[in-house]
Formats: sequence, structure tokens, C-alpha cells
Amino acid sequence: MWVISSRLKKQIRISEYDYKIKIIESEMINAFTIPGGRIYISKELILFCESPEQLAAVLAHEIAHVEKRHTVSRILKEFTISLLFSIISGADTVLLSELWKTTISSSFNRKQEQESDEYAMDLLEKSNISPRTIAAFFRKLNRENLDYDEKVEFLMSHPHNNSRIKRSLEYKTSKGFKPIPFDLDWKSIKEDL
Amino acid sequence: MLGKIQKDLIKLLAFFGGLFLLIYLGFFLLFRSSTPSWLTAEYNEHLLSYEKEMQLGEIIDRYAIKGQEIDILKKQTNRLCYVGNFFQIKKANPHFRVRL
Repeated sequence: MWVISSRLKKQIRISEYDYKIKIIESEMINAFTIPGGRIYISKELILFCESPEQLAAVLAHEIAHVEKRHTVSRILKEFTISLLFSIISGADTVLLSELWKTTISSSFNRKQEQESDEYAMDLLEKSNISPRTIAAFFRKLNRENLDYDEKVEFLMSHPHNNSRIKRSLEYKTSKGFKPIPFDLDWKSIKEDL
Repeated sequence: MLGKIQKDLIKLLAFFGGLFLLIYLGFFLLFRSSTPSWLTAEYNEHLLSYEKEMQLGEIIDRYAIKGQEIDILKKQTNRLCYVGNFFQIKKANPHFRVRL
């Protein structure tokens, strides 16, 4: 995870965030972000990815949500600023529980998702990873009939897989772009999980 | 007299209605790609500073995520300890076998 994320992070020139990426135990193919540059990837999602590049694509998308502050905007839609300040200062468990529910249940809107996809493709290109990897990831989802399935809850608000595949394939990389594959034994990494 | 008032009222309504429509169309064309933020308060992220955002993230992490994380390093250390133990036992007892 460190190898993959550090290659992406290097390409974010100016960032206010000190990223913390964690793998969590979950039966769902899931990835989500909470405020403050914290990204969570489920074990099931890593097992689902066919290559480290595919995981990098998911990670780049989540980084985009962080950089564009979509997580904050989402929370602020449900919570007032004073309520958030009271959580920060007092950490009331009832409020925290509500905040947590909002964080995981409410979704980003389609515009934010599209914005994140574009940012992710740009970041992938800068990191010498083919933006077409996004298409490969969604093709696999389609192959396994996981589009909008309850198992992939995090995709519910996302634009339909086919449109994302199309956009990823249409993305024009700059002249001379050459993808550099990760020097990782992906199979054994997955076995180690 | 009443008819004149009615006519004036209709004119007034048409004037303000038209004005509202023009303003609305103006905004619609200006922000065609996005809904005007003053209408939906969609872009509100600037209300929370980065510092407060970090604190919030830390609290959510502590409250909701702790315990669900997978510590790969710990897993690998355990595996190394297991291999280390295995060689120690094997050294002491050459007949020791592990069926995997």
C-alpha cells in the first residue's frame, strides 16, 4: 500500500493533507474517505483488484475526494458548523454516532464523482499509471455483475460503470506517456492479507 | 376604475415576473455547469478549516474505525515468529514435523 500510495502522493504538488491509508476488515468491496485525508480500503477490494495499478486507480479516486474536500462538503450538508465544533471539542458519543452514520450512508453527488474521476485520471497519468486502468477495474466489476450490487455499496452514487469506462478510454494522455508497472508480486501480497 | 387597477396589477406582475425570469436565466447561463451555490449551498467546504478537518477525522477514526484495521506488519511479524519458533523446535527435536 505504501509503494502504491507514495507514487501517487509524490505527484500531488501542494497538499494540506498528511494522508493516512488503512486496510480494514470488511466483506464488502469498499473504499471510503473521512475528513482529514484518511482513506480506508477494504480487504475484499484489494483481493478484487487484478493488479496494483487497479488499486492505485481506486486510491487516486479517493485522494481526489480528499483534495476537493468533498467529504467536508458532504458532512456540512447534514451537520451545522457549530455542531461539528461541539463534536471536536466534546466528542459526544451520540453526535459522533450520527456523524459516522452520515459519513458512511450519505453519498457524493454525481458531479463530485465525475470531478474525482477526472482528477484521478490526471493523477494516474502523472504517476506513470495508465488512466485506462479505471476502465479495466470497471470492466471486471461488469464481468462479475457487481454494478450497483449491494456488495459494492460505495458505487451507488457513482456514474454508471459503462460511462466511466468510456470516459477512461477516451482520456487523452500526453505525448510520450509511458506507463511504468509496479514492481510488486501482487499475488503474494493478496495471499498475505 | 376597478378595471384600471386590475390592468395595472397585471402589468406590475408581468414586469416583476419578467425581471425575475431574466435574472434567473442570466444565472442559469452563467452557472450552466453547476447549480448556483447561493441556491443550494453546495460549496460549503471553506466553512471548516483544514486544522478542524484533521481533528474531526481523527475523532471519527478513533470512534468508528479502530479495531477494524488490518495490521499487515503485525501479521508478518507473527509469521516470522512462527517460522523462527519452528526452526528452534526443529533444532531441539530433529523429528519434529508440521503438517500444513
